[in-house]
Amino acid sequence: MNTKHTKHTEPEWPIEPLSNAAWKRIEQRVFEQVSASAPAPETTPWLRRRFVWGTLAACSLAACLVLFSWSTGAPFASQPAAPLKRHYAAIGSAQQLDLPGVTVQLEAQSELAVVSHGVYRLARGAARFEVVHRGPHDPLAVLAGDVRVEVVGTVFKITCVANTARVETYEGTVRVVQAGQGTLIRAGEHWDLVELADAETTATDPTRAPSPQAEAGGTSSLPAFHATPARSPDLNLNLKARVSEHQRRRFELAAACEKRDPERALRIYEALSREPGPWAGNGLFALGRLELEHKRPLAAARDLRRYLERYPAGANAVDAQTLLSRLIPDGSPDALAH
Amino acid sequence: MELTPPSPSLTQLDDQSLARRCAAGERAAQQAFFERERTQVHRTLYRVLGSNRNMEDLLQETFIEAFGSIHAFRGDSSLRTWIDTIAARVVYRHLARRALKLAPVSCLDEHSAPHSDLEMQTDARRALQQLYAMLDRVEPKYRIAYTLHVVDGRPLKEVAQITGTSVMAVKNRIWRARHLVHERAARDPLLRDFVTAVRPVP
Repeated sequence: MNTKHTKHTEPEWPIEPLSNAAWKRIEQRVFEQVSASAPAPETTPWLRRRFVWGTLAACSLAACLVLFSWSTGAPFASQPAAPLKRHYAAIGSAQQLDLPGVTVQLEAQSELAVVSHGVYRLARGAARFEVVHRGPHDPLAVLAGDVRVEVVGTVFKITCVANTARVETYEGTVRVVQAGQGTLIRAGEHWDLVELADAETTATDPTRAPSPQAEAGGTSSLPAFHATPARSPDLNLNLKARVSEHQRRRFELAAACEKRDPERALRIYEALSREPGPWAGNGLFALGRLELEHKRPLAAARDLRRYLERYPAGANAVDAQTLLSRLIPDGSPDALAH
Repeated sequence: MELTPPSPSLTQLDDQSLARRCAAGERAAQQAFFERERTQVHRTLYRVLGSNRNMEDLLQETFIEAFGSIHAFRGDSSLRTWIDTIAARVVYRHLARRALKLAPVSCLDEHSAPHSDLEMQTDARRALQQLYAMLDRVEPKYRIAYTLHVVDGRPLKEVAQITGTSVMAVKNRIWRARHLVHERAARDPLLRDFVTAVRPVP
């Protein structure tokens, strides 16, 4: 396109003029309207200045209050007008609770109690907490049994069913304190406390690893978990199924990255082998096999032997025995060391 | 309502003073402003619309809006360009509200001045009528830029000021409108002659 200004080769196209009567009409209507909407008397300058300074002062005050509330972790602006209840229960369906500094999604069949300011106790069920940022010296705490979860501003979920507890962190970091020991759980991670004795599950799942309690000779290294027993067995089964599903995914992830990133695969297998759950046996065997493939005979022998000790009739017992016999032809561990 | 003609001294006021006195509510100054700018505003609106249909309403709306916001006139441009900006806004709203139908020739003749060459005028008018009928299918912002620049011959910079955009944007709008017009004119001999009469300066 030529962007230069254009000219016309013929005389300018005429504009049809308006009649005098039309102009009179327009003028009359315009000035009638202008008279009807005459502006209010102008405010005097000093009054305007006062208004401007007053507005500025109000804005500054509001900003200071917001900053103060943010730094002290006491967001008074979000305080509900209604008095705080001491106990919340979602019986039939999930509930959303807007409590001071935290929004709680209380799932069905769950109970939450307010212990004190900023301290809640999940009696049973599951709840997701969205905590607004608080001061570092004033963390919000959620108790579940003897587990204490401390946060200063994050999103996490805590599930407390039967004798199990799980803390899942979606944003930020939470600190889980149990038996005097603190663990930081970052976004995307979770922390489980699973009750060890479950005869039914052990009998039906041959790959399920014996608990660390059994491994340690019958005495539990984990303190007892005193949560209110669940009234619905479905929730208990649901949690176990979710743990199993999560472990299966991790196992598949490790299997997928064995060639590309063997160190990562080893780490996942090792973690799985230490966890109670149905995938511990598979994780332990895979750990030994992968160590053997990567020329780590000592570690491979140790882990394969552990597998055979734990799961003598496990699905991979024959393979573990075969691999171990390749490693130690004469059956003496000392031979391997040399 | 009896309206008196503005005094000669008011018509010679500079833009800033006139705007200040209009903003203060001085009726004589407002009348002087109306008298001074009405022809220009009518021209702007007419060029965009192509007829006097709805013209009274649009002129009225433009001046009411101008008197309502004249206190905000800072003198960055002339008062004439400033009110043209308002007129462009008003006509844009009008075009966007509904598809305009051009008035028939008989309507156009209602207030027309006598012509010396009737045949030439009739041809030109028919061509213009077809041009504006075609512009009815063009987006209002393209139409405004095209008519003000191509039909009314205003510089790009002025069109950019009136429409509140950059010169590049105005060029782009004109190009789009012109593309559509030329496409259509290729099939219409009368319009083709009319459109080719507008030639770019080398």
